[in-house]
Amino acid sequence: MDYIIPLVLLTYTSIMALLSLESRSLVYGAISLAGFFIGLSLFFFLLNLPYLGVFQLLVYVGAISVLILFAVMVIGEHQKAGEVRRFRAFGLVGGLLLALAMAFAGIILLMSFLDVSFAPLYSVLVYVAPVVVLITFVVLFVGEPKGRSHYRYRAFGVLGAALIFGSFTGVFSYLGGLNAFSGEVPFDVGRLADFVMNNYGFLMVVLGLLLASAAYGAVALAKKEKEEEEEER
Amino acid sequence: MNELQFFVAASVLLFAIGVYGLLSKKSVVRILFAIEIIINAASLNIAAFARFMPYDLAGAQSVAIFIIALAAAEAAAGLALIIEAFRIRGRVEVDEMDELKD
Repeated sequence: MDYIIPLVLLTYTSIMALLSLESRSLVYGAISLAGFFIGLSLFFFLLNLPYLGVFQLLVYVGAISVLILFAVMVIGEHQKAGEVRRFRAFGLVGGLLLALAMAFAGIILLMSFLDVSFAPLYSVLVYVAPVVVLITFVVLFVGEPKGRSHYRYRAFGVLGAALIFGSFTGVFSYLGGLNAFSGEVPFDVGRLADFVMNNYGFLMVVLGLLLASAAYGAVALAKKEKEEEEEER
Repeated sequence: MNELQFFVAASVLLFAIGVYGLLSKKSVVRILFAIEIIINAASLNIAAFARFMPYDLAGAQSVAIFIIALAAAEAAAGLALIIEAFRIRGRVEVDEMDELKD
């Protein structure tokens, strides 16, 4: 087995986990947590469990990360004065490391698509993506938006996000078809569905009810205070 | 080091990062992040064993799916509690939540 790809993936995932805990700003922490979830779903793709990887992407990156970001926005950030400078240095290092990870992802992408007819498009993406991602992160973490130049940063952000999306899509498609491990096991979603419904059918129903009640309880908890305030008026 | 050992070591590393965050952070939101990291490390561990042990793939995968669904419910309830605590107190640091002590 070739350990390079899993090692790089592990490095990326660990850095994202540490950044989510250590970054000064809660918003950047939440975004880093989303990066951590993406890394873990890449692990599932690497393990030849694509259904689990897609499930992880949908639930964690699509739902939980957005929920966390929403809660962080409601709470607001409690940044203490004098700690901003340290955060900037930390963010710069994190951005550099992420850019390195993206560069590696780009190389994987290049390798996987070299023998395909649309290789030039991807090779351009491969060389441009890490640079733009690096610039984006340096600007996001270090730059001070002032006046109109603010829009320029936004443009960088949008461009970087689009390139991140492209690179990750390529890595997903590559890892999905990778035969990195000995003794590949054919994966069958129908068999998984059979297993779950035959053995844990009742548990699935209970889980669905639990999720519905959790969503209902969350809404009730978050809404209660406002209704009481209106009654006081 | 074989393949299973590598992935178990990876999940142990992520679990250790999560435990570090759980023990060292004061903000409730960070603690929730740490709990999510721990849950994901456990999920990765189960997926690795599902892949490299000569048993049924479907069984372990269904366990991992249950873990993900439960974590979603936990995050929804936890974040609602955090927002409620923030409305009552104005801060979300765990070392300041000591009313039950008095």
